[in-house]
Amino acid sequence: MLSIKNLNVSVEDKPILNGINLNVQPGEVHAIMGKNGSGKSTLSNVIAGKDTYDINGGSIEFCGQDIDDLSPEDRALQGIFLSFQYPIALPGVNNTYFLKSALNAKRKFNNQEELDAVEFLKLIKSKLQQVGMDESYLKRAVNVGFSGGEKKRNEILQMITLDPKLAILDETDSGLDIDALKIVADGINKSRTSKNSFIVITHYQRMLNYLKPDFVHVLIDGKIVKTGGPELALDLEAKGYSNITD
Amino acid sequence: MYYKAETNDFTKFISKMDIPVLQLPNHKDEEWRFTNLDFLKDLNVNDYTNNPLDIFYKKFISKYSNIKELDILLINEAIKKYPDIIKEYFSKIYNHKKDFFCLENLKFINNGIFIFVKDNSNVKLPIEIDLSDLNDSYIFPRIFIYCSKNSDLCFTEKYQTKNEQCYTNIITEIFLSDNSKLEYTKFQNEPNSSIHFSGLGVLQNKNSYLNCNTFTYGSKFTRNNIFLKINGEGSESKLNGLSISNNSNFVDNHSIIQHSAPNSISSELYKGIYSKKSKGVFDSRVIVDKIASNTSSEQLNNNILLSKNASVQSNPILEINTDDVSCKHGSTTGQIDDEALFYLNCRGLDKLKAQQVLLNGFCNEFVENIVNENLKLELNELINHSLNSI
Repeated sequence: MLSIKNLNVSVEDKPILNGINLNVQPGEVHAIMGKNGSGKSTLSNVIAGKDTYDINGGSIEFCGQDIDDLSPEDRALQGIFLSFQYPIALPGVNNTYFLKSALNAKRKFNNQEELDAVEFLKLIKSKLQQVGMDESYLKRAVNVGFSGGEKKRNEILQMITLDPKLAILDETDSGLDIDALKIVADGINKSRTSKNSFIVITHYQRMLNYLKPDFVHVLIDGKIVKTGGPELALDLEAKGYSNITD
Repeated sequence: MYYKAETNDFTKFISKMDIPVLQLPNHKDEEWRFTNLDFLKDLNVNDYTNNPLDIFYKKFISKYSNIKELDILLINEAIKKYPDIIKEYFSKIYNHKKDFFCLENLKFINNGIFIFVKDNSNVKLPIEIDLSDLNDSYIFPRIFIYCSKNSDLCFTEKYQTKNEQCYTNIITEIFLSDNSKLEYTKFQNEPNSSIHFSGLGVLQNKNSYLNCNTFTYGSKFTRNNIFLKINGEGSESKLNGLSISNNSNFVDNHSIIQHSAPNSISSELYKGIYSKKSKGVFDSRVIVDKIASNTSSEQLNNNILLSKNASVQSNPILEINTDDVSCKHGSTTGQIDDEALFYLNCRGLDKLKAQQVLLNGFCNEFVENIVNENLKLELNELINHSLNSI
């Protein structure tokens, strides 16, 4: 699904990622944990195709194809989804219009017929239920006046609507209370299949209790310093990152 | 040789008015300091040879003649039927004495539309004056609306001429009696070489409500002048504008809002999208008189520049002469937010579509102010058309 080899990335000559190697197979859930400033968000932005970074070396392959030259929209259309750590507010753009435009762009790309308003509404109503949101949300402007929790649910709603091959969840658990966390995690779990994959970026172990990752990676100073199973997250929670570097 | 208005009661009335001679304003004039009118020196409005509006006015009057809540007639007839209103307010709500363009309008008109909205009436159907089919080179419309007590009206002016060289100079005056309500919308979608001057004067009495929306697209020169005087306690006024500018268009939204009574509210939201070499001006002054305590006023101007060569002069001014008011103003001008574009790109929308979604959203905040659903739909179509052309 995703193969990152020796990825080196900098911003304004400051190195952020220093030789990342990561292999994600279909059906797998990978958690990436690390302190603030360790490069977690840079990694997710680079995979999504943000062009404000300098890629100094290495490669990213998605489904066997080098995606270095692909625009963010092409990566999205091919099945990469980034759930933003800080979702952007879009004043005046209502959620229905936004979601429908995104879904139809993808359907068009996949040579599927675009959904009309009625078909879309039927689909989106079932998706709303999955993340515990009511229909009034559809009329609101994207992320405008949303609480932290609503923004994160909205990201997950977009994810389950667009049904990506690879979803990168950048600190989707931050800003969520326990109940919301469970709803969001349930939404993610229900969308898991043997064909799609997840990269879950988080500071805390609690999200991983629900998501049960196959692998946990520890990112420090732009490098994956340790990889293990779910028990590594528990270890980190108990002992902190210093224990890992030591 | 210019058109000599046919003499009638109205032209006699005008001839008795105190009409000064004014020169074309220039940048030394406070009201025109951001706007260069030199190009008008080459335009000989005196070539104007006929008044195309008589037939148009009559058609408009007959179209709405069956609405019993309204009395619509020519101003020339209103002079006889409603002499007190004409004497008291005509050319006084929008005062011609210091206004070059209002004087020009007076010089060339021999009639106009007078709309009388009866007491306690609610006109649900939007009354629409649509000058789109007029293909004349010079158009000088004149409209006067009198909203009686407790009345409710939705009124729209549309300017969508196909005449590339059209010069429009329109003056609309509106009187809002106690507890009356008006939704006023003006659409402008004119060819890139046309010239459009519009003057709107509104006088508001007690507890009246005005929702005024101005959409501007096209025309090489547009000046929207609004003079609003809040003369009655408890009134509320919303002035909103949206300009979508292309090529070398110049759009100047100029307004003066005067609070002359206590406990009133005014708000302005003017938005502009400027592409290529277009230029915009937002020049608005809110004056709070000494008597107008407990005034609440808000001015907001948001602009998006789509090109390095586009520019906007934004100038919101508050002139407060009393205590106990809540007034604020703000202005933003910038490019499309890169983070927002990236967010949309990450949802599979390409650069062009993402920009279109964001600009549509920007415009929606204006459209949402319009209550009438049909007008909203029509405006959305016009906005989509405009956005596709820039």
